[in-house]
Amino acid sequence: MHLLPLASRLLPLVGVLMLGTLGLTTTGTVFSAVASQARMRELLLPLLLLPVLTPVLIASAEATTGLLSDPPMLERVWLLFLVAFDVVFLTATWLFGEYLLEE
Amino acid sequence: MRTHWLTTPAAAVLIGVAGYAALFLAPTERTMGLIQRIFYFHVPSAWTGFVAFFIVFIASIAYLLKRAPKWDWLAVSAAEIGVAFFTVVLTTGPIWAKPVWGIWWTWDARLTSTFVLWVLYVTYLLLRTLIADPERRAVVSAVFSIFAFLDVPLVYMSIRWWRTQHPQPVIAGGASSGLDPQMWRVFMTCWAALLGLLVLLLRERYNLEALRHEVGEMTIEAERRAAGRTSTQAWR
Repeated sequence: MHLLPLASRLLPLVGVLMLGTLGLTTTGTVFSAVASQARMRELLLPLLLLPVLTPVLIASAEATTGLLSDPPMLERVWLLFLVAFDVVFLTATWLFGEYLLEE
Repeated sequence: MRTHWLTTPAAAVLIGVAGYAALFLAPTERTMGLIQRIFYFHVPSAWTGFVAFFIVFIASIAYLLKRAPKWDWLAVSAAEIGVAFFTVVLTTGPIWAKPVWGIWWTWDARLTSTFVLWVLYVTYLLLRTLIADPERRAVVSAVFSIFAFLDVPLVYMSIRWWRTQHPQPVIAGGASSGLDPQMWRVFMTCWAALLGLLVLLLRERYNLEALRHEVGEMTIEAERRAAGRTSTQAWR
């Protein structure tokens, strides 16, 4: 077993992590607000989240796999996909998120 | 309650014609044989289901903007019917796949994204049962359904780039692909029949939801009156 030289891939890796985390937290926050208004909310949240998170999980996992393989490669399509996911759901949250918070 | 003396038989006849056309009028496909005929209900069910989920999406946005309960009734009606159509898709698909591919199921792009789509709208219906207050239920489920609808193309693209096994679209799929004209006519007949069924079911389900709403209001009113009467008697 040999250690991968991390230095050259650290920056893109951090980028992927940030984009993926942004996607997880955006949908996670909105769906927590959805689940918190229902009965059985602890059970409901993962049920609501899992299908919606499928694309961001696949894209992050694929991008990270590419970066950690030898030689490293970052397929641009996954990076763009993560950006697209984040943009779509941040925009949707901006447009519709506040309806969840009204009383 | 209005009875749809014309539309219900019309839809039944149309479905019958579509079934007859798919089984007897369409030419037999060269390599797959008879099992290919399931395509005439498989693909139109998926398209009709997409129409239903698009109605959920539009109705949910309309509800958030207008706050008229009728949009919420339309959304839940279309969601239930869309789930029914996609249940047909997910049932007929494996029946076709077993003889043609040799397997019932595989985690390819279309299969997985169709399954995720189905799960999303089943959770939408589940979410609705878990919120008691009608107004909160309408708002929260509307927001959820908008997110679910936006997620569908993303799910599809992500899995498509990941892996794919499903036959590429035959209709408008490229220069070498295409349907025999007779197959095309049968296909459109089947889709028209299922769209007719969608309209019919949607109207019935919507009326049912409106009646439920009415019953809910009457129950509250009756309880209020009953409470008022007992307090008056107590005072006497």
